[in-house]
Order: sequence, then C-alpha cells, then structure tokens
Amino acid sequence: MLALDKKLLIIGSLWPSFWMATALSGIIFSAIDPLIIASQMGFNHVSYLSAYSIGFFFFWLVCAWSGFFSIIFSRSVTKKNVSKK
Amino acid sequence: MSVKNNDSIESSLFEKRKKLYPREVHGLFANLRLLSVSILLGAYYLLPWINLSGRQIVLFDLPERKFYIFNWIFWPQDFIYLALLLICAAFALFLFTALAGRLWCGYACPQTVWTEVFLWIERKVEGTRSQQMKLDKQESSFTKFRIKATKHTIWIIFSLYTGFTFVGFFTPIRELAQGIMSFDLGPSEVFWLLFYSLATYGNAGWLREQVCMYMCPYARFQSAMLDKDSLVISYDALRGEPRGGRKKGDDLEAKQLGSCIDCSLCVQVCPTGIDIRNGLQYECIGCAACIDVCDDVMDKMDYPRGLVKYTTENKMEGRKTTILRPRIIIYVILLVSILSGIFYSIETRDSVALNILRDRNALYRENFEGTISNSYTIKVLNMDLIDHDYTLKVTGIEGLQSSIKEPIKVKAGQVLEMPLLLSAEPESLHHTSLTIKLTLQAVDDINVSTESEGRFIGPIDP
Ligand code: SF4
Ligand code: SF4
Repeated sequence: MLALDKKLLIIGSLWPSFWMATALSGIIFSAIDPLIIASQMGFNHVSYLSAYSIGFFFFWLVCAWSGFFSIIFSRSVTKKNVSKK
Repeated sequence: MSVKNNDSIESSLFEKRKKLYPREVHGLFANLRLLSVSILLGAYYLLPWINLSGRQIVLFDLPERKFYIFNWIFWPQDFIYLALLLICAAFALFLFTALAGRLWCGYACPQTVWTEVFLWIERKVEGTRSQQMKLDKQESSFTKFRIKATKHTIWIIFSLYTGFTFVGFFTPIRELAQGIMSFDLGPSEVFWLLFYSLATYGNAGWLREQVCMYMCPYARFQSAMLDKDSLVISYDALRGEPRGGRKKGDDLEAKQLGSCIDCSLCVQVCPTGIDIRNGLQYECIGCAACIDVCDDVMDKMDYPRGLVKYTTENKMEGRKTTILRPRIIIYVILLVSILSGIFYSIETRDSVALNILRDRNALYRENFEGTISNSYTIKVLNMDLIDHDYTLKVTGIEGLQSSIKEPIKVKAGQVLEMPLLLSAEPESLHHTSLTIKLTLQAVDDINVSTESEGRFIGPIDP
C-alpha cells in the first residue's frame, strides 16, 4: 500500500506541475525579463537560456510542492483506518 | 468511449504491465497515418534548417526575447496571441473529438507519431511480432544481446537527434551543430537536449500506450466531448457474433456463425492491447489499426468489409446521424471568430512601439537659464521587417524643448533605448503635474506611427 502511494505521490506531483511550470514560464517571462530579476538578485553573468531554465525549475518545484500537498491532504484519515482492518 | 469503472482504472494504474507487441498493419488508415506522420515529422526535422532572408524561418529566440515564425516576429507583448492560439487549439481539439473521436490520438499526437517511428525501427531490427516475442522468451545469449543493443543504439541516436532538433528551435540550429562538433555548448543547451532525448526514448520506446492510459490529460476527459453522433471505431456485434473458426466458403447459416472468424488479429494489431469486440473502451486511441486488419480478413473470406468500422452510436442503434449539431456549430463559430480575430490583429498590429519611463532620481531640475527640465528614458521598438527613421514630437506644454536628435534610426527588429530631456519655461507650467503626449512617426511611411503619454513634473509653486 505504501509503495503504491509513493508512486502516485511522485507522478501526481511531478507530472501535472511540469505542464504548469511550462505555462507559467511562458506567461511570466513574456511579461518580465528574467535577466532583470537575476541582476537584481546579484547574478550578472547568467545566460538567457540558464535564466529561463532556472525559472522553469523554480516554477516546477513550487507547483510540485503544491501538488504534493494536495495529494497528501486528499487522503482521508478514515480510509486509512478501513484499510487497516 | 465510456469509462468502464473508475476502480478498475485506478487499480490498473499500479498493475504490472505486460509488454505489448503490436503487429504491423497495412491498409487505408495505416497509410493515412503514415502520411500524417511523414508530414509532421518532416516539418519538425526540416523547419529549423530552412532560412528566410538570413534567419531561421522558425526560431524561438529566447536571448533576444523574440519569436520568429515565417514572416512574423512576435515580441513578449504579443504573448496574448500565443494564449489565443492555444485556446484555438483547444477548441479545434473539441471540434474534432466531437466529430470523429480520437482523431488526434490516432494520427497526430507526438506520442503516436514518435511511437510509430520507434515501432518501425523495432520491426526492422527484431523482425515481426512473433519474432519479437520469440526473442524476448529466449535465454540470454550473445545474439539476443546484439539484437537488443542494436535496437537501443538506433533508438538512442534517433532520440538524440530529436533532442538536438528540439533545442534547434530555440538556439539557431547551425550554431548549435557547430557547438556540438566543437564540444562547446552551454549547460542549459546540453540539459534540454538530453532531457528531450530522454523523454522521446522513454515515451516512445518504453512507456508507449501507458502514456495514453495514465499520463495524458486528454485521454481522461475526451469521453466528455463525445456524443451519440460522434464517429467512433466499433465492432458490429450483431453481424459478427457468434464468432468462431470456419473454412472459407462454409455455410454460415448451417454452422450458426456470424462474420467474425475469431482470428484475434484485431487484438494483435492494437497498440493498447484491447479487444475492440468488447465494445467501446477508454483505452482505445482510435488508431483504426483493427479496421484495416479486419477489412483484410473480410476480403480474404469474401465477406463484405466493415465488421469493424467507423460508425456512430446512433447509426448502430438504427437511428439517423446528424453532423451539424449545436455543439459542432458553436465550436466552429468560436474557432472561426477567434482565428480570424487573431489574424486580423496580427496583420494590423502596430509595427512600432514607444515606451517612456520617468527617471526616478529627481522629480525635476531647475536650470541656469531658469527653465525646468524632466528626464526620461525612452524605448523605441521597431517591430517591422525593415529599418526605419523616426521623428518624435512632444506636445502638451507650450514651448517644450526636447533633447532628441532626429531622425531616430532603428534597425528592423531592434530596440533603441535613449535618454530624453524635456525643458519648459516655468510660465507655461500651469500645474505641478502635466500630461505630455509623445508622437513617434516614421519618416518613410505615414502609416507607421505610435503615441504614448507621460507626465511632466514642475515646482509646486511655479
Ligand atoms: S491518449 Fe494522449 S498521449 Fe495518447 S495519443 Fe491520445 S493525446 Fe496522445
Ligand atoms: S481498438 Fe482498434 S482503434 Fe482502438 S486502439 Fe486498438 S487497434 Fe486502435
């Protein structure tokens, strides 16, 4: 049972969030130039492709985090008790 | 395609997967798929190599923050078009699904398209379906290893080339190719190249139908877009049953048999491993392989074709099929209006933009000669395909002096950023803050112009 949950957790949080991160990168980076953010954070020698990539991974992480907790909280406590029987 | 039962799907999510060996098919629909695969892959692999007036015809230039698509250049502020285009794609998908089920899955989805290629390679190396099955059952041996290694090597080379092409849509592909030759690539380029290659190899080589069954969002909600008038692939049970073996020319009445000879070929060709004779199923991607193979069998038996065919639920139940139903009409209207809106607005969009930004450091400055000045930074974006000279007129305050030296020369597709100093006599400043209007006009084309507004700040008590 635990093994199954793990698989669902991993796929369920990483996969939809991958697409959300793609969409977010598109929207956010068309409005804001990522190099401006990078230079304000003190990084002056980042290439564009790296700035976009780092942004993408950041969005991915955030969305995956949220998905992860959605899955955790969607498991009802009672269900667990039932399966123990 | 109704979802049979939620539980059975959820539980199968974790079942151990049996490897499928889809059998090769020939026929009308297989040819259609081949055509669609060739067009799509042809476009994917060739487009980055085509140049138009010195630049790649399709290039998503991230460093310059510009997308080149044929004759169009898209700037970050044109993002709305991309969003609208995606909405159109969604409506088109709804439309096609309502009309003819999973056309997208069967003929155009990248998953299907690349899997077709991988299957083709697999068949070239490992042989037919039965040869593949035999090979997998064999004890490990050098021959087996050699065959498997060959297959994976070809798959990997093909995947790497696919990944390379993918990155080539974002970095000029010729530079990228040179970078690879001289081992001089940025870390991000390497990463995305490998990432896309791995995704291709994994999805088309290993996961295959599992992507459709467990990972694809479209597969989950497409059934909601089908109705009784949508074309679906279905087995004519009335005609086919009772199924059973027979010889060619046997009297069906006497033997009490239907048209299905129970050869199980429809199951063997199915890329998702289902039996279409069990009715519409969630797993069916509508690839029509079972139609092709069954038509073949019917031909050999001298039975009429169409035991498995494209049909609608209404037709199967003996009712009329209507094509122009309200949902179809609504989808078409929406699609046509959004698309024409997009094209109209792209074609008529301004080919120049002007941004003005007040310098934050000082509100205003009093000069020796008693005038008041404000400083700004202006940005002129020439979004046209040719170079332009512009003039800048500033109005709103009497006798306003501008520091700009005309003409302002901006090359095609370039952004020019420069300081702007405006000075006015204190007498003409009736308020502390006044609106000024900037008009940028191309010298050579009266239609190319734009306007922008800014504020001029003066002393509180002028
Ligand atoms: S189910 Fe999804 S992944 Fe599979 S072919 Fe259809 S759209 Fe593509
Ligand atoms: S049942 Fe037929 S149409 Fe559906 S996926 Fe299988 S072979 Fe393709």
